[in-house]
Amino acid sequence: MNRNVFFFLACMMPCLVCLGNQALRVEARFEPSTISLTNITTYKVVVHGSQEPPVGSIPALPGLRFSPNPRTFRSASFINGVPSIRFELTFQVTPEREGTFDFPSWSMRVGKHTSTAPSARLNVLPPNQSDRIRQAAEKQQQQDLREAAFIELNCPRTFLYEGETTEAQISLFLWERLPVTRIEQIPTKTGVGISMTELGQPNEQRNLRLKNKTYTSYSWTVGLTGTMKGVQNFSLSSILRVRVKAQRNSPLQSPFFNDPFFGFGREQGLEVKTDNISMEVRPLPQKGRPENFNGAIGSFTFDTSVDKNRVSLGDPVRLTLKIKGKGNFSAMPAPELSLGPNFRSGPPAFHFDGASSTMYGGEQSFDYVITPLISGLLEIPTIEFSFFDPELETYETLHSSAHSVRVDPSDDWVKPEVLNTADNSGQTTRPTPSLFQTEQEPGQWVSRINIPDPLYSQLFWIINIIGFTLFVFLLFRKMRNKDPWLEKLKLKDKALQVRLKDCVKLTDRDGFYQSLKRMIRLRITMIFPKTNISALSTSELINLLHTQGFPPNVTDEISQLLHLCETKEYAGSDRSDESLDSLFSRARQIIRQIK
Amino acid sequence: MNQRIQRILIGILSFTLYPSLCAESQDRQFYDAVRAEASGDLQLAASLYEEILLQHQSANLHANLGNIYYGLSDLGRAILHLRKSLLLNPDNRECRSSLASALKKSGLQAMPDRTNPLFAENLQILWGSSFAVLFWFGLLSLLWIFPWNIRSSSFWIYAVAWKASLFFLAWGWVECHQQGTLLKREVIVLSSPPSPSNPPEKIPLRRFASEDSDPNTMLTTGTSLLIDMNNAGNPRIHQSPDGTIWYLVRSLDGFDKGWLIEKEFRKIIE
Repeated sequence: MNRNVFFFLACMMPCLVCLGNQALRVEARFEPSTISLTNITTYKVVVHGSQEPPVGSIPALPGLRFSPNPRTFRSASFINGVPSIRFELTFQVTPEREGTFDFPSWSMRVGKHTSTAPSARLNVLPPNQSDRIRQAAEKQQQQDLREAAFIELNCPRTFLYEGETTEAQISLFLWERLPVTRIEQIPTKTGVGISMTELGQPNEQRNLRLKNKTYTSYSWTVGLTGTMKGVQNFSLSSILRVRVKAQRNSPLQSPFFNDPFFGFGREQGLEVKTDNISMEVRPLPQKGRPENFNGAIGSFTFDTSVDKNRVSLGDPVRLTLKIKGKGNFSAMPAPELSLGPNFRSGPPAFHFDGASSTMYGGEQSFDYVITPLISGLLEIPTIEFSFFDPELETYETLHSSAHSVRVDPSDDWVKPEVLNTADNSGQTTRPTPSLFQTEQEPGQWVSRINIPDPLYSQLFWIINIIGFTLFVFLLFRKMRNKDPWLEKLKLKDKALQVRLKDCVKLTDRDGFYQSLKRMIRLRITMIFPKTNISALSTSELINLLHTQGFPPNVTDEISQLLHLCETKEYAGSDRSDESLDSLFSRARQIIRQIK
Repeated sequence: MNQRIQRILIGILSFTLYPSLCAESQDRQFYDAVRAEASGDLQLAASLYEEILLQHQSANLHANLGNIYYGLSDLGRAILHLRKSLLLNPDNRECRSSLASALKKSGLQAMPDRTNPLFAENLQILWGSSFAVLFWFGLLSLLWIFPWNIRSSSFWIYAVAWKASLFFLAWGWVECHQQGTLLKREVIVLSSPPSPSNPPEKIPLRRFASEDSDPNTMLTTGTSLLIDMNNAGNPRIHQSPDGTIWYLVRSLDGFDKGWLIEKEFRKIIE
């Protein structure tokens, strides 16, 4: 064996020496060298006599686009008994125009040697009929895919004012033949300048006919708000999971259509995206802007009401402002109250009744609790509410009606001291005296402020571990302390049940009555383990059951059954006309209740 | 042999003394800060306290720091540190009254008692442990006292009473947990430190996450707000093109909502 190996190596040695000394030769060519404009070709560089990758840069030729990452291939072979090694570099080349391209020779470095790749020629012909057909097919395929799933935004406004909210509808259309397994990502907005409310549950519509196709659409109603001035561009995109064929290199090329194995392949994400949507956000006009305008944009009505017309001094009155209509309720602050010196008011409570997802249409209530500070017939002054109407492009100011409140004097009411707030201190601040005596000792150090959590508390887990251990211990003990006598009775009970069924099958009335009697007595023995049941008569048994609290109908049934059994056993006669099947089902129902 | 024992002893000593030596350094810094405060150099005292806070905290440190900021008329930071001090030592009545004074001075309402003190966030362990005790006690009792005798009415009365008690304790636990969650979201509005020539400024609560956006309202420094959370439980933030991070916040009563920059507030529990 060893001798054979040596012989083989001795024969191969000259070949290996020849391989190392082989002269370098470089070939370069386009394969194929003649193509039509819609096809691609390859530029192949073959270095004979080396397996080292060449180093150099390919010259750029206008009209030809080379792929940046070439494919490489090393090979060693015997050709007519002569050993040969080579290294291949293959670039994909895409022509951009018709014509004849003479690719110049270029130098490269292979190991320590410098070689030159020869020039090559490529003829690019105009596209032929089959190319045109293929191009058209691809175009059609792209169009089909675009028509198979698309997103539409329906917005009633062509432009928005800064801060204006409008209601829009986003619809995702899916062609019924597109094998969508799920919508992986609901439509999301890309782009700044326009904000969009969160999407809730979609409204689904099936069998919609559009462009001679049947679609299922999912629609979401959203609120769009212009946040930054200028022309804002944004797009909407969604990701679907679709089943595509498993084979990548199918001759049919289309992953979604015309495939005989359509629907049995792997799942793939498909992004559905709108084109860029442009919307202008205009600044609010300064002309005619009321002083009390605080950002409300839309079309509103305004109303106020009070809950009481007569109160005692110090009692609160609820003043409710209701703004109804369509507009930017989410960005609408409470109207400012200027009630004069006779009233004091607190912050309002808000309540919105309407489309809570978009906060566009509905009714916004502001409940102010106001407290009269003096007695007498007081008037709550009219309240103004200003907003900008984007349809009319004008500012509007609405006035509420004045409300009168009679305030009766009260003895125990003391006028509260008005707090000196920081915002009315227009003057400069001065260092204020300290609040309390400085603590001289640092106290207990902690690394950070934590809120105690039971799940990180030792006490909590110790209690649980102790409880669980005791539980397992008790359970184990209970299972070990099973009463063997009771277990034996249960086994007997099961055997009797089987025998009863057999008797019914074989219509053995004698055996049936015997088994039934034994079974009833066995069940009663289980209830009264300390009583010798076999020594008791039927009437004594029934009395015993009565004392245990069994209902009379059950005891009557048991009594009847036992009498039947005894009559058959002692008198030898069967006075019952009932079939064994019905007797068995009746007995089974009664026996179930003897527990 | 003796040398080896000596080395081991030195090793053990240095290992055991290391924490106490470290503790001494922050104690020393604390005393330096107290001396600086006593000498009237409030800025130096504040910077010393802030330096300690990078590593360690204590109720007294936060209380002193709150006191210093109050002295410097930086009411936002005073309120923040007094709140932190109260979290570490809720029984400090002096600190509580100081907080009330600071809030009154800044024109804010007194700290609202959001809930029954029974459901305070620091009672979570009590509620949780009581729940665990009752759960296991009830389960073991059912197993021990009423061994599978489900026909007896006392069994059912006991089981229903046990379940009702469990529900009550679970409810209490959840309430405490919710208070804790709210506290983790709570932030205090801060402005740049005021000076005699620069009175405390008001912070705009902007309608949109943009510097030039109109404010919804102007916030007084020291105001408590809650950070808005998204469905995943993370803060709702927006990063503007210049890298500024904006947080969506709302007032404690939930009526005012708007955007604040990161530097305009600090969380009570960081």
